[in-house]
Amino acid sequence: MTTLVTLWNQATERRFRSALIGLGVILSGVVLIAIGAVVEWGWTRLIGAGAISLASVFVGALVGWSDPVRPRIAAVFSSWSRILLALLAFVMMAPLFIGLLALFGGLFVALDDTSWLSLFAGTVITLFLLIITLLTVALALPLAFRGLRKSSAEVPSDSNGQDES
Amino acid sequence: MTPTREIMWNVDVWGETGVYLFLAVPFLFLAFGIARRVWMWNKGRPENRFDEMWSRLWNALRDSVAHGRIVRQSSLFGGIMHFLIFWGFILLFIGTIIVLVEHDITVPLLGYSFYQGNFYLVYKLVMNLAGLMVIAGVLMAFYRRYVIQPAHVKTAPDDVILLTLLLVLVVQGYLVQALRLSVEMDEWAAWSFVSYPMALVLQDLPEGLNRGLHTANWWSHMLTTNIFLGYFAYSKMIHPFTSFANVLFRRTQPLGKLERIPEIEEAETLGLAKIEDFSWAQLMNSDACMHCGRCLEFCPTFITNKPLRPRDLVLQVSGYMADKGGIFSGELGQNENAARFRHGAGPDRDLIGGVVSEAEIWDCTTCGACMEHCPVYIEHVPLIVGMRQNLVLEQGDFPGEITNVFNNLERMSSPYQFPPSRRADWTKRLDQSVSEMSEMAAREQDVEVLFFVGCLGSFDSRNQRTTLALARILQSAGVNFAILGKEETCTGDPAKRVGNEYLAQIMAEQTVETLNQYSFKKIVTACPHCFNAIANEFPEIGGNYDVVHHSQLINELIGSGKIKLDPNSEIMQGKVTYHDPCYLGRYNKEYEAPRSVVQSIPGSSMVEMPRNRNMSLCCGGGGGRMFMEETRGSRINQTRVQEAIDTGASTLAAACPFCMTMFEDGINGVGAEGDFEVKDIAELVHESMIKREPAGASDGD
Repeated sequence: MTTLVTLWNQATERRFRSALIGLGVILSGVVLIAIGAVVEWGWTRLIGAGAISLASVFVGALVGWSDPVRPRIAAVFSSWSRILLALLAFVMMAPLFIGLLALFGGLFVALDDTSWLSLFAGTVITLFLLIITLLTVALALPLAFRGLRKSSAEVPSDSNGQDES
Repeated sequence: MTPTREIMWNVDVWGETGVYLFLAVPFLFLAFGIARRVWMWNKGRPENRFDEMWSRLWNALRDSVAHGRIVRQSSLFGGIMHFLIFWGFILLFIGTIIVLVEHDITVPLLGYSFYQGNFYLVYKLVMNLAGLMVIAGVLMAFYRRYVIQPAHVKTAPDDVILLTLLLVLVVQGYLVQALRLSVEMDEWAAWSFVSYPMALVLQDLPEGLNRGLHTANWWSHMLTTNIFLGYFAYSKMIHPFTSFANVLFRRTQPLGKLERIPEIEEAETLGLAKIEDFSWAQLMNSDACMHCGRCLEFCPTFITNKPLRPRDLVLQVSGYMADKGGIFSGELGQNENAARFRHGAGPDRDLIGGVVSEAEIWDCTTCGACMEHCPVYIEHVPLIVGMRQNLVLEQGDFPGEITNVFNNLERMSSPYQFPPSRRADWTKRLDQSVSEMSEMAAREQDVEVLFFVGCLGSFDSRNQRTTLALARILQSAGVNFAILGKEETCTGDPAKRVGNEYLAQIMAEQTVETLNQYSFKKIVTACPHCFNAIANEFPEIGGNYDVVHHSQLINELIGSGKIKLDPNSEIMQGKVTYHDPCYLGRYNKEYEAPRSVVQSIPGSSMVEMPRNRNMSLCCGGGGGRMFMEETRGSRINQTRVQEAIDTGASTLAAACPFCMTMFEDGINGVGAEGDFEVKDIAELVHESMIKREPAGASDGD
């Protein structure tokens, strides 16, 4: 803990170096897992995943525990936020809706040996999940876009006195 | 065959690698968000909140994790909703960890598998149930926000996005499971009682289609999980961390105690005007708010449409801190979340005036309803008083009406313009004299009870009637009591709550010095504000006394038979309702003694107002508000009087001189004078007592 505090209190340059080392560890973890997956070594997953998790927490905490460099990052997020949201929403929702809608296909091709009760239960559950997901997404997406519209208009252009460079 | 399943079924090498690789992004975001918040808290002043850690931990587990303070009678629907989401989510999280341990630790390292057999079957059952819990909770939340729409609940994009993410995560989980089962159709598939019927419908589709849909949904589920984790620290979902921390490090002092400014003469800054003036715990406080709005449910300023809304005030401070700390302020997380109401205004604002308006600061009655109902122990009142301290002591900026109060306190030792020599004038209206402590001490006579009359009880003509009634009760019951008389001074309560800590300290120290000169067994007072100061704030400055409120003493006297009430008394012929004074009820948890007194009055039939006990609505007089004009929103005292009238009662029983003054005014305000009256419980008891000769309660002329 003392070491971490010391590290956090060090000069920007050393913190930057530490962050680079952290990123290096993350990358090593990825390579290790990839190799393990190819040659089927199970133990590499644990070490690789541990390295990735701990190093990302370390880098995140290191950057978080230092003076804000907000304006540039906020501006980047702000300019891309709506496109990003639309993309993410599509990637998250499309497979889900297609999967749930496959239910109707399933009903058409259902073989005679499937009991009607089972089909009914499955249909009810799937329809229920489909409806509630549709409703909540229909409520959330416009609100999210509205929120982003507001924030884009209101992001302060001035910095808070902290120079990013 | 042993029941189990293949972990990472239908997932190729890209999936097996990618699932770990993508963990880096949400972990980085999460760590950054939490570290930045802690970094901001660290900007605050030091404060020791690390004492009795085991007790703190136990209380935090009880109140937060076990929902002891979340599921409450006043918010049952919201409490159950939160319980379902929280515990459903926790169970699903534990389920994920179990799979991780099996797949990444025990099997590859030890060659041991536990994810099978009966354990697996129960696991499947519990996971399906947990998913339903989350869905039920999320639907309840939507129902509450869009159908019930309680006034104190505001819906922001962040709220709906989070609920949707939770729902989508669970539905994706069910679908992925159903798609796998549709291909594998294990013998034990029915244990997944939600996904199994879905799988039955899907099973006759081509296997390739189901596998394809499984892959797509598996990736989509991973993506949603990562987005959820990454968004965590920038949305109100951070509250499991910040709220738990807040409950863990909450103030363990009595609720009614406002902290002193130590060594006030040497203090560089007074009160709260910038982030650095807060203690780290106060900064954490503002980050712990989960926007539930329970602080508003019984808040008199919210109910009467004033600018002050405790939740918004806390969120404004939180947003300001986020601006200062650069926690993506202005982005989706903060914009419609913590800094919802002053979003994106930037860090270069003054706290007072720029972030929190003076109207908000001065509207507070310090009734404590916000703190009482906050599930995570946010301390709104000290925050507001802190800003008042800065306005009063640093800027000399306070409502004009308060000037006279300060002047009188300085010169007359009471908020009123009466000289101390007239403090005991009320005793002249008694048939029997009342001794003063100085006389008793001079005669070396013991005093059992010191009657601390208080400023309103001494000088205000309406409250003098309460004082007289109590004195007569004490005399009639044969209680050996005396008063301080001209030596009595204000406890400093009004000055302290208004923010004049300097004056408050002088008044308090002066009172303690006076009290410490004398010997007595206990103090009785009819003023809950004096009671609170003596009980909770005086011990810190060397004033340790056994103090009781007059309702407690009267109840004791009735119980012991020292006071006999006339069963044929015709004083009470109608219904009576009782108003809980904030400084007696919420701050000192005395709800029953006054009720017991009222109920013991012959002929009385007590009815409760809908807002009672810890849910009581303030009279509007606390926090120095009694001395200020009420120019914003509707009048609190009239609102409360109307609530009392609506019960059908003809009498409102009070137990506080501040409430008495506010209600007398409120009755006139609603035009109910003559039909409805307010009386102190001492007056009610005295009027229905069987009078008898005093038994040497007080000697001397």
